[in-house]
Amino acid sequence: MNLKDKVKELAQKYSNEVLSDRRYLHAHPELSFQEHNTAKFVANKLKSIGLTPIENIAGTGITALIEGKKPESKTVALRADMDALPIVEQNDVPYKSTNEGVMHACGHDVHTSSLLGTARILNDLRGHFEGTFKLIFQPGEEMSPGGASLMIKENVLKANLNKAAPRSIYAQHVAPFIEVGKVGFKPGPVLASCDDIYITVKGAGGHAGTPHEVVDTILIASQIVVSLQQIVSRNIPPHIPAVLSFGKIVGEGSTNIIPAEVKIEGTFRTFDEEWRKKAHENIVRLAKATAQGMGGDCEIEIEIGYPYLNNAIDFTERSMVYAQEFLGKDKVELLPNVIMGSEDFAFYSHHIDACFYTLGVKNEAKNITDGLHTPRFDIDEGAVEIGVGLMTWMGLCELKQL
Amino acid sequence: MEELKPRVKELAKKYAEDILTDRRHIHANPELSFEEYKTAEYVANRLKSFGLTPQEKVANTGLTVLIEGKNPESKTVALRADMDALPITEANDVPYKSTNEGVMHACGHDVHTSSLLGTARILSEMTDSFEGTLKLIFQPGEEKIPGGASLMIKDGVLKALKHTPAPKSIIGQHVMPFLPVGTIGFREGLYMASADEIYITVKGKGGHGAMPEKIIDPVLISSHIMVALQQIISRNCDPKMPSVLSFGKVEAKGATNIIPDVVKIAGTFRTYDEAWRAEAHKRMKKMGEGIAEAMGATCDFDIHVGYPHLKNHPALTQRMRQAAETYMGKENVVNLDLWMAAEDFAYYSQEVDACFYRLGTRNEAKGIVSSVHTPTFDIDEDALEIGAGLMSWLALNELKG
Repeated sequence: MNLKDKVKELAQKYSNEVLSDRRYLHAHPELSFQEHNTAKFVANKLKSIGLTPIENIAGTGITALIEGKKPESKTVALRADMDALPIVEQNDVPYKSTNEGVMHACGHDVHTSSLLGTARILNDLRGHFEGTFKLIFQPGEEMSPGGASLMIKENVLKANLNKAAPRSIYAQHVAPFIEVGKVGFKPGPVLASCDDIYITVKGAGGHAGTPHEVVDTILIASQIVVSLQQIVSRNIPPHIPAVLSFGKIVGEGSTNIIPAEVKIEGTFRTFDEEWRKKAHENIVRLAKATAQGMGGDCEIEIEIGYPYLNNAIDFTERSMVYAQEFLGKDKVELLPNVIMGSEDFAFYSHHIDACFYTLGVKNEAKNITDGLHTPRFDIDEGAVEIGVGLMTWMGLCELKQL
Repeated sequence: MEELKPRVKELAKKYAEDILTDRRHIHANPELSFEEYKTAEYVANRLKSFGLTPQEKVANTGLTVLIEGKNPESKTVALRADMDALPITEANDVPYKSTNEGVMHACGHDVHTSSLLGTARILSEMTDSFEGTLKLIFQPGEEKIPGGASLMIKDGVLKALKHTPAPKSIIGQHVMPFLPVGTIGFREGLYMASADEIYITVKGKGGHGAMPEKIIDPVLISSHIMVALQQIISRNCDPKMPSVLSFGKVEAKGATNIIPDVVKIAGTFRTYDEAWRAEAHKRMKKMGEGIAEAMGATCDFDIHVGYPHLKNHPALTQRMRQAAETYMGKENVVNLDLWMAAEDFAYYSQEVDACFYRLGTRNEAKGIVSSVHTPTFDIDEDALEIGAGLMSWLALNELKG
């Protein structure tokens, strides 16, 4: 039996266990950086396989090594995220969240259980590969500063225990816009950087009938919202996707009272770290100058979020070929566009070669079509076996070719 | 005429104590706009006790009363007071503090009403000293759209009644905490602004902040509208015409990364010309709706039409000012600036010759300095005798003139 068929056979063999892990995790979701029970569950599973996990990395993170022959020669990292979202689940399923108000609405239960399945298979196949796999189970993908950035600070991308530093890293993400059975890849930039912008406009409040005695914060805030659009249309090179949105304005005066302060909140997303920094400077300069030019002032706080996610081009193109070998050519899609969402796997992608691919979980016939971060999100569980087998196979191929 | 002045002053002094009692009773028992039932009853009883015959339940809680001199059919002058209080919790520690928790005479209507009761009493004792009729108007709901004044006018208070002709002129006073007690302010011509409330709801299509191609952004569109509407003032309005457009409230309840479906804006438009006001309403609506449409959204542009502007009839106001100088001394009569607040006495001023003047109520030495519509507003009560006497004097002068 060749290695590919062996992987498929083992993926099928473990599929019931993986499914049961997934359902346990789904029923017991925990919020970002509070994944204590989840981490314990993962560590126990890894131990039961015979592995020796390193626990409590960045609080609730875990790594585990699976050593093949010549384990010190090279390392490939495989990553899953473990946290859930503050959403009340509306699905009526046997594995519905038992932690009211918290829900795995972004598929991290799938990522984690799938990586546990991959661990089982790779552990069975130790004699068939050279090098080491480093499994990374990270906390807090959904919450700034991102569990990934903390795991990197804790040196998960460095050499340790005489093993080589990982040269490449894989992660998958469930995709409710792709049919179950299919997967999607996009070499190069794929997800945006994301920064939150908080502006507080300060003027002099007062009676609406005496404009000469007030500095009108509402008008200044409006001017700022309007004029900041030129950051996107006039400052950033047109070939770099960028978006600046303000979703919240709080101006709590009344028909005849101008408030002393107006707050604006928004998000800035783009795909270039240099222009991201310049845009931040331009936003601050333009907003300040607009406010000061109108006699007021403003405070601007930019909460720096995740960088853009860059899929290493050669690595990702190779991986598409691995995937085609495993699933068949017709099952592997090239994602046509970048996505303006953001993901903390991006941090890894700025350190080593990274490949972030999407696992189809949609099934229209079964009415499984709801979007991520919605209370009705669910997956076609047929995706789990595919996710387990594919990551195993691609890891084996990549380790071989390094 | 001059010979009547000592008599007016004497009577004002004589009844000062009663006026004070009336003021304190009304202050302690404030009622909200159009709910002035007890106040109206109190006023009616007081008028009856002076021997007058009030006509009650005009515009529900309003009253009028005629005081006829000689030849009552020759001429009528109207005198007006308002009776309603505000939804404010009084913070003054005084014996006459509001006993109706959450409601307060924070705009001096208790003073206007008690002062006009004093004037009624003074004039009812002088009916053989003047020719013509005085029509006293105690109106409800000055503080609330559509304004008690507009309802009183609809009920015919500015029309002829029985043998008395329609009033040719009307006089009203208002407390002024920026003027020291003992002083009076006048302004000829334009005085207070029209005031309309503007409520704009911009309806776009909400969604994720990272997907601008899938949304219609009401946050950006409402910002464009607020910026653009300023040119109604700077580019459409005659620069000589005072106008102001302010937005004081914006509600965009999305988040950093969520664009809401709807943004609500609330503001006020104030000016001094009824034709321009109507034109400005049309232009604002067209501009708001046009911008929203051009950007793919729609907007509900709702204008709650408020009071018109208040214009003091120049000749009448000059006469009243001269009479006030005679009564108070020239040094105690001052000129007023334009005042961009609104007042429903404006409705009377659109119908007949009107004079709305200010009664000083400030006393810095006594710490009486708070503005109207604040929980610590109060007056120097010495203003009551002045208010009752002066309005009597002005009425007598106007009937004679």
